Order: sequence, then structure tokens, then C-alpha cells
Amino acid sequence: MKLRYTAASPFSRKVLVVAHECGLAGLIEKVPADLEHPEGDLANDNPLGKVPTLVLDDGTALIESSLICEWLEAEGNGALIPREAKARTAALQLQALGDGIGEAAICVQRERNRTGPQHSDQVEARWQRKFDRAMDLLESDFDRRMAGAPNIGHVAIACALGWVDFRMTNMDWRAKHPKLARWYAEFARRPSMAATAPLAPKP
Amino acid sequence: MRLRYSPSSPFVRKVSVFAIETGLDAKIERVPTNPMKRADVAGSPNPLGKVPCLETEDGMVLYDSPVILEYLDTLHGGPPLIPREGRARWDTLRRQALADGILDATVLTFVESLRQPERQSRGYLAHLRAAVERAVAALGAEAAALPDPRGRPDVGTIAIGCALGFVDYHFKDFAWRTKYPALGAWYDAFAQRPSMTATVPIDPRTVP
Repeated sequence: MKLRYTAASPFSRKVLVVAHECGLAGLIEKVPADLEHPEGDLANDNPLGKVPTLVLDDGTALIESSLICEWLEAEGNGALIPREAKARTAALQLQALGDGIGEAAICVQRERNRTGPQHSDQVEARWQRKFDRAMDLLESDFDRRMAGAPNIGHVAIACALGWVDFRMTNMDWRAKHPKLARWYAEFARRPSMAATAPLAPKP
Repeated sequence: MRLRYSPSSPFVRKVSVFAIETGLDAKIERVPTNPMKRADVAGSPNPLGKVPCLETEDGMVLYDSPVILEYLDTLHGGPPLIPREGRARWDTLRRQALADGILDATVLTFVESLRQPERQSRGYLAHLRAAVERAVAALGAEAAALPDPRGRPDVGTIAIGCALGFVDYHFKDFAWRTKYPALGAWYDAFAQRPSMTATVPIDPRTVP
């Protein structure tokens, strides 16, 4: 199977972490994608022009990281999405929160990258509030949400925070979220996380 | 259960259509929440401020729409609208993801259009429009394989119905029915379902 990805995307990384965790990473051919110019390339695999996109050996293309992760978990008999209904719902919910944190951070950065008249302080502030509120919720409810065996939600949160560290300046989330900071430092040492850490582009 | 909703959200519509189709509608109390209003967002149990957001009887707070639909699918007695396993499951969820992607790009287009004209990015709008056109073309190529629009729906067909309705509304100059007549016929039949006619979104600019 073939994974269309970008090295920096937290959602691509989430898929790769899951692939490592459930022993399928060796079966995945990684093919980088150019998000700015999807025509004739990435768009052939995913008409939306987004990553991650997993093209299965029979040609079926799966899109959306949560769907790809579920497929990998089923294929690799993984342990990140619980089988029992309530635990499963809680894990998928935590994934949605983690993905939302990543999306909010990306949208803050996207707005910062819009310069001149196209930039809007209000839009940046709106996404920043979403990021802050979600992080505050995780910190205040840390024991209930973050304890226990690692699940897909934890992977999503770790990949989102990894992206913040990699891409953003002036986003010091650790000071106000010490429990999350300690947790992340530990989680980031998992081999699946270490193997998928984004590298700074070559100068 | 309590559903935080906006009458203009196509993602809320997915949940509403699902609830009507499965008979869960009467068990859901609806609380209006405007994701563009700061006070509404601050009062929402979803820190990201998005709708739909479902508060369950046993205290869970669920979002986004795929998580909500998967949960709701365990609550009704009929055949599942998300096949539990195998090829049928992946086909259904793949179609939902494609339709949700169309909705995402269309929502982003609308949000960009709310900026003052000089603050809008033409390049970004063109990028989003191209993604929507390619994704609708992909649905057009798949039209003959879609389940009967008059039969029992699944989350894939519900999402496609909501996506095409939203595209119709926001890209009035995109003549997709002419380009993909089989998809147009499929949608026109699907849109006749009582669950669809009861849930037509209102214009986002008129949400209180």
C-alpha cells in the first residue's frame, strides 16, 4: 500500500504512528505529496488534494486520517482503538479533540502566514481561543482523559503538539499545561513517535 | 440526549437526517449554538466551538459528526447505517469522508467570503473550488455504484446527499448536474426523502 503524506502534517504523522504501533509500517510505501499542486498527482489519489491518503493494494483510496487509522488498526489487529463500545467511543472522541487541537493550531499559523491586508487579527484570535480552550480542558480533566493505556486519542494529541513545537513560535503551551507537558515528554519517547518526528527542512 | 446545532450547518444536517431515518429524532433535545458567536462558543461543552455536538445521557460529549453518527448507530434497533465490518464498512466510511471533505472545502469557501473583499485570498478560493469540483467529479464517476436513493440510506449516502445540497446552495454557477447527470438523478431522488426535505439548511447569514 501507498501513503501520500507530507512530513510535517500532524494527520499524516498520526497515520504513520498507528502503522508503527500495529506493525504495518514496513508494508507502507511513503510517497510525498505537493499540496500546492495536486493536479495530475495527489488529486489522482484523492480528489480533495489532501493528505494523508492511503492507496490500498487493490487501488481503493482511503482518505481522512481517522478512517485510515481505523483501517490500519483492523488490518494490523492493533490496540489503539478499544473494542468495547464505551471505551471505543471515548477514544474516538479524544481523537476528535486531538485532531481539533491540531486543526486550530494550523489555522492560527495559516492566518499568521497571511500578510498585509489579507491578514485578520480577529480570525487568528478566534482559532487561538479554540486551541487554548481545548488545551485547558485536557489539562483540567487530565486524569480522566489521559490516564490508562495509550489509545488513538493520545496519538492524535501527541501529533498535534509535535506539530506546534515543530512549526510554531510564540505558542508556549507548556507553561499553562504542566501535566500535558510531562505526559507529552514521555509519550514522544515511544519508538513510533521517535520514528515519525518531522525533521527541519534542509537549508 | 442534547444536540448543539445550527440550522445552517450541513454537518448538523447529517446528524438530523440520520436521527429521522433511524427513529431517534424524538429522543434528541436540540439547543441552538452559533459557532460564529463568541458567547455561544464559550457556553458550549465542545471547546472547539463546533457543531454538531451531542451530549449523551451518560455524560459523554461527542463531536465531530462521524463520532456522533457512529454512537447513534448503536442506539436504534434497525439494521446499522454503518456496516460493522468488511468491504461494505470501508465503502460507506470512504464515501462519508469524501462528502465531508466537500463540505469542509465549501464551509471554508463561505467563511473566506465573509471577509471584506480586500482581505480575501483569491488563490485560496480557487484552490478550494478546484477541490470541490474534483471531488464531485469523483462522486459522478461513482454514481452508478451508489446504493438506491429510495432504499435504506447509510452514512455514506446521507453525507453525499448533504454535501450535494450544500454545493447546490453555495456554488450556484457549478453546473454539476449537466456534467454528471447520473449523479444529478441520484441526488434529486435522495433529496425527496422526508428526512432530507425536513432538514434543508437555512442561509448562514440569517442564523440568529
